[in-house]
Amino acid sequence: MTGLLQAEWLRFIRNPVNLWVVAAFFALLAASALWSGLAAGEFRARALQPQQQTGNSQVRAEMHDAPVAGKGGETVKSADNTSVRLPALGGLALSVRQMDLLGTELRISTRSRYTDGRNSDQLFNPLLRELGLLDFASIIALLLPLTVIALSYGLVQEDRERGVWRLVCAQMPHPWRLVFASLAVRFVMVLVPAATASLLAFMPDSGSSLYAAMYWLVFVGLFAGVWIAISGLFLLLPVSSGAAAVGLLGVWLITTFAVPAGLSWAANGMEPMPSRLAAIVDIRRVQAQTSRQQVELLSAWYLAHPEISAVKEPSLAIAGLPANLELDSKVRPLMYRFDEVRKAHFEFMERWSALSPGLAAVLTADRLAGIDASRYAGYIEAVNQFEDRWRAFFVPKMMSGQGAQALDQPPVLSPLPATESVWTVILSQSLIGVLLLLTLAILRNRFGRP
Amino acid sequence: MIAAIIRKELLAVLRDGRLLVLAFSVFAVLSGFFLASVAEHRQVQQEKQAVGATAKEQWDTQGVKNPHAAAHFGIYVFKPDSPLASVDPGLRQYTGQALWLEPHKRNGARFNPAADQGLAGRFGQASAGFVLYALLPLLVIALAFNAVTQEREQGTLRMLHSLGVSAAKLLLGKFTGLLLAFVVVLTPAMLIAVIILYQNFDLAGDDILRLSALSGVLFVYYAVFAALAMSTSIHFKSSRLALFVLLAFWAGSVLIAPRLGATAAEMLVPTPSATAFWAAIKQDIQQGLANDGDHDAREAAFNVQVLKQYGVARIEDLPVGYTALKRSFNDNYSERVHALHFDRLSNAFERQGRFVHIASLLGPSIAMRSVSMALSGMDLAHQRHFEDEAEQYRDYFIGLTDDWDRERSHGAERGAQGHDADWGSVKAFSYTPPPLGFALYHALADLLVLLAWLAVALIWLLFSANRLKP
Repeated sequence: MTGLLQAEWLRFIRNPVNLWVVAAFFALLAASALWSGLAAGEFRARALQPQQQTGNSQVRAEMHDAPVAGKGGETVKSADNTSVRLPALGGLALSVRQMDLLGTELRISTRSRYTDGRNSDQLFNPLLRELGLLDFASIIALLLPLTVIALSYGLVQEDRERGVWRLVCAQMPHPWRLVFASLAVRFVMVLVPAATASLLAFMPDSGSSLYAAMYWLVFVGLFAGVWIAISGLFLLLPVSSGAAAVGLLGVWLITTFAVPAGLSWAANGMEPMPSRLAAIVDIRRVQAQTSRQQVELLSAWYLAHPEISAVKEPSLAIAGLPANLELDSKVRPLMYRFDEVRKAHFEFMERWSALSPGLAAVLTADRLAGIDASRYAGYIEAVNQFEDRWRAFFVPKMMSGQGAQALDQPPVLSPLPATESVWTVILSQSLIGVLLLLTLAILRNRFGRP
Repeated sequence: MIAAIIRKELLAVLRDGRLLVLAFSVFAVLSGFFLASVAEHRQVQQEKQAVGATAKEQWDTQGVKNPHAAAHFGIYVFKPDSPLASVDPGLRQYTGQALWLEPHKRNGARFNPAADQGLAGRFGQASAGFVLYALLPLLVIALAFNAVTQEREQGTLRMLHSLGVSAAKLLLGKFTGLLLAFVVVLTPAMLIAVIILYQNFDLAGDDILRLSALSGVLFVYYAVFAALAMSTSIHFKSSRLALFVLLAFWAGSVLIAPRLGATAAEMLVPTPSATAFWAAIKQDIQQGLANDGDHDAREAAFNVQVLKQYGVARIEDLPVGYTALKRSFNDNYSERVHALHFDRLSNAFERQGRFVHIASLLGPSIAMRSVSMALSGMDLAHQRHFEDEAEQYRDYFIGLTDDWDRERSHGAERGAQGHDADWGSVKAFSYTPPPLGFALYHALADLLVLLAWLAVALIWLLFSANRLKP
């Protein structure tokens, strides 16, 4: 077998087309890796900046309706300066731009963040998102299968077309060994650039972790293995090399584009995503209701807190505060439904990811980056709990018209639990890989047909 | 002679088993995606209309309250998408679905669907547009990659050569025959698409013009791939190698170039983060633009001017509400600052869009994608047009509430009140999308890029004729 591997290796490297393909694959992956790694580093650096920017009282050009200084005004100001951010995990470089799509930085205040259009929405050019950026996981999910196809399609069929395979069968008792050696060489030649580029992606990101890198490398190995096995099975087909290429491309198109779309459709059928537009109407109904009840809610608040004496002539901020709290308590559950459904969809897709290796790649990347829907839902829950504690600390001080004391220690956001190791995706990819290899092994003697 | 070649080529392709399989696949995939797109589009449009009407009704029935408090309730507006958005939803996934209009602040559109449905669309939207610009070129390649190599491999090219058939005529005939075969494959799916569009939407004249223009541009796009496939088939001796090169070109054009272009644009034209953007607006309002003076200085000057204008010595003596007057003054300034920053941001997005075209050197797909989005009314230019119109509407209805507040109060007191009749008198937002000319103007650069690709592909095809040897 070693001799066969050597022979196949020589055959591989002496074909300039193969070398060009591997070089182009590595160049694109390396570019994507460097960009992703640097973008991840920038993201972590930016995570430190917003506190400084929003906390600068010089830039707080107040609108008349914004919280104003006055009685309790200092408290309101320190309140406005609090923001929290979803901490990225060690695999951020794999899926860095997905962080922009969700509100990862949230401002904590007495106002509902869901009724302020500027608190959590990110700014980005929709065109660039639509065209796609160089997020490493997406690039590897798209290019690795294409490289495997380019290097291995029609290996046997072409030899048959040229009459070479008849000679191979005549000279070898087990022609499948030649095919397997050839596939093994291709597996290594795809895996090495992919693994090297993966490490390149992790290196510039100071927050990357060994765990994430190792997990990802194992996944990339499985991913490459699955595609090599699929290519191997296509070598068994009694068709021309061109037809084999078109067929493989069809499998790639279906598993990469159609299956995720189908799974998304199925997930939505099982648990429909609520409508954001319908939520607008619900929010406005609550807004109108709490606005009408502002005076009653103010009185009710003081009644519920007899230890705090009511402020005479309260500022707009104080007068509207109980109504804002009431509004948020009703809007939060409405909006949390979206995160819950996203989580359910994500987990559904993980369960079925064996059907789409490309989808499995981005699911794994999202988990490792810490932007998966399950973790995000947990983050929102933690932020809501923190906001409640934060309000429990600040609101009485604001409503009493007194500022915070220097010795007062406001609450801090408890660290989010580290991501759970979810093995669903990697196990299902292993299973599908083993099944494909087993099928190939069972059918191996068919390679002996000239 | 050329007619005979076209006829032979058309028959050869039509008799080829590949065509039947591919035609059926194209019909199934395109029809399926199109039906799904139409259903989604209808649902989104109906929901926008219903929610818009309910939101306006909520506005109209606010009861008795201060006009400015009513203004703070705000109005949501929604961009009505063209029926062609069901062919190409363009940027829908990444632009917000709703725009909240409120006093003092100009907001961006909120709730982009991609945040809720990010995974399925990570590699591209499952839409008819994706099939048209990404998958159908593969069909062209599958039909054309061995157009010449097969003749060479079977020895028929030598026979044609010996008959004295001119290489240029042969290639032109094959090229035309291939395109005709492609049209035959595509026609059933396109007819079904047009029927579905007619059944589901009220197509205006402009929509029909846009659809015709889109069909024409798509034909040019496919012609580029066909010409390149034909030329490649001449230059490579084996069908396998020709197919390999063409698939690499397809991957480069459809998958790699847009991503490289987008990344280059993002690096070359940086845009501010949300935090920095809003902070800059606040800072300019607070500190003032150029020599306008800061917020307090501007307000003090306004105070003096108002007292002088009304010929009174104290605010309390003003015949109109001072708070509303001052608010209008501040809001006018705020609008100026907002317009400046929003224009800067939109211009930066436009510049990024232009830089993306650097990657058009790798293939015509970016240009096709951009033209398709523009003709479907789902590009940045159309979004900006909508947001600018919405901003004018915001100016209109906030101005009305300020007028009521000013006229119904006096001096420093703030007792003005409005009623449902007032809120109901605010006209509903009515948006008319721009005509085809607007889309063509904004897609001009992309159209030129596509035509340049066509010219290059055809010239290469003609030059390749000289190399056509058995």
